[in-house]
Amino acid sequence: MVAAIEVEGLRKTYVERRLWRVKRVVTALDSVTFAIERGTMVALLGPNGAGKSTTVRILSTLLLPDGGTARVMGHDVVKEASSVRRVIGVMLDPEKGHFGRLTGLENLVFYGVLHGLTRSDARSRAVELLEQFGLGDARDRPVEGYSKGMKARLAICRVLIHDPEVLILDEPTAGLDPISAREVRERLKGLKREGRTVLVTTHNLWEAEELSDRLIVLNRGRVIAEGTPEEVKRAFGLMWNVELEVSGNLEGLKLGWETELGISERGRPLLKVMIREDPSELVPLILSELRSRGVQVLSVSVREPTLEEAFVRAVGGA
Amino acid sequence: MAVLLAFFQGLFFLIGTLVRREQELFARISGYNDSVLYQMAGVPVLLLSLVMVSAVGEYVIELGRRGALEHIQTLPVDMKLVMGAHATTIVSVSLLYYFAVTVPFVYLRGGPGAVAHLLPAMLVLALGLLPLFLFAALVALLTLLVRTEAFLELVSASVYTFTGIAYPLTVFPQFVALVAQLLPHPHVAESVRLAVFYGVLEPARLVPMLAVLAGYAVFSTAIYSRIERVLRRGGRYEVVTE
Ligand SMILES: Nc1ncnc2c1ncn2[C@@H]1O[C@H](COP(=O)(O)OP(=O)(O)OP(=O)(O)O)[C@@H](O)[C@H]1O
Ligand SMILES: [Mg+2]
Repeated sequence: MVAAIEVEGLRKTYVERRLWRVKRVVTALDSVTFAIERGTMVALLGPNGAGKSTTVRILSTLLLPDGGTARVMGHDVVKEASSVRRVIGVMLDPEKGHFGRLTGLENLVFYGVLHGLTRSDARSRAVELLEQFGLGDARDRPVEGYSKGMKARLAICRVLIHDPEVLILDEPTAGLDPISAREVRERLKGLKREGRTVLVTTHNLWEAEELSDRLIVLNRGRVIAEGTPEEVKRAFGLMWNVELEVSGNLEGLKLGWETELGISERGRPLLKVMIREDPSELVPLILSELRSRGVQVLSVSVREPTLEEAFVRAVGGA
Repeated sequence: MAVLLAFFQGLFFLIGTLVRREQELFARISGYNDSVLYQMAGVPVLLLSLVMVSAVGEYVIELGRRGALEHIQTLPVDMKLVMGAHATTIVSVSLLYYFAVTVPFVYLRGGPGAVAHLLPAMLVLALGLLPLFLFAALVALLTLLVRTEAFLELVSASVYTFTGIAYPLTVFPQFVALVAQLLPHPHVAESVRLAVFYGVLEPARLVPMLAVLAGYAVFSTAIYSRIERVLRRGGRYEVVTE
């Protein structure tokens, strides 16, 4: 079986010039290789500047690579750009690409026609999608009046208007509040159920984990980890920080986990426990352990590890 | 735009009726042998070109700013087709404007016979608008590449000055006049003037313009692919708004 997306040794260097003088050379992709199977949802994960958007732009034929190859459904993105464009749906920025004075419906019909649909086909498909994505009531309002969350959902509709096999979405939840972001994620999970191949980029590990079957982690233009969310987290040795404000005698306290002592913002003694496993199971254990030693716990907070932290550690340690 | 066009046509009419012997007068003032009137007849071409350069340029920049330009690039539709649709609209609207604004003046000055001259002029103008559009489209692409809107203004100013429409080309140093000949404007303006004045569609007059048109089509297609490649290589479809 041919993979839906195959990227091999992809390289891209941006040369920024002022007039003719080279000002800055940025290597955005440094030999990136990965493959995405049909019908799976894969997250391309990485911190700012990792090269996620560059990869997306190359896959969507907007940007020419300097070296390596990329294929979408077997079509080369450089040599067979028009075939690639026929099978993909691309979202570059959830807020952009809309025509503000046109209504949501008009926007979708416009793009549907550009995709080669007839007006009536585009319209019926657009109406169906708007309904499905909770924009049915807003469909005849100009898009400039939409909220960010609505624009993001409209962007998903736009990507789906021609019923593409492969979806390429660059940070579909960027700039959304947590509630809208969650709503968008729910919709995206629905797409997976429809059997489409989805490549979605994000810099949020938890979003990636929630959305996708497999993660590809990029940093500074290289794939540094790949696999199921569990595998990736293990590879990075990610740790949760459980912070407990306590009162009582902490001297000589030894728990089965890595700990650190500090002072909380409110000036109370703070016990930090670093754990590698699921906090929902471990926190009750920590609490009962402390109680049994006569330490009173005033507050508990769990800080999830961020990918940035993991990168800092991975890069700093290397 | 209509106002400007009307203004210049009005001027054209006034000069024509008030200054009886404008040809001699102009020749005496400038040493140039064409009449003011004749010179003025090219002004609509200039105006349409200016309008086109800024309309197409702004259109592309605005599309880019909204992220629609990039989005359209990911669709299975040729950008040339999108621009072509835009061109058709602009050209038809421009022709309508030109006709509506010119007919009354031409009628007043020359009678129904002169209005008949307008028809070949329209045909020539329609043909001539195509290279003007290609020119505008190239300017728009270059604006993306240069990444400053000021570029548009610069081109508009140059078009106004150096195309032999506002002033005859002969008032410039020879080199400038030569370079200006490479632009489509002088040729288009010249053909339109001839058609308005004499109603001629002689092959001898039309062939050079058709040659210019074909040349521009070939030239801009070649340049277009080249610029597009540069844009795609540098990721320049994304218009930064600073
Ligand atoms: N058009 C461009 N010209 C010059 N440099 C660029 C351009 N686009 C991206 N870069 C640089 O290339 C590197 C990778 O950028 P890219 O946009 O692919 O990262 P990203 O992973 O999408 O990051 P983010 O999370 O910020 O969106 C960055 O250092 C960026 O500054
Ligand atoms: Mg990005």
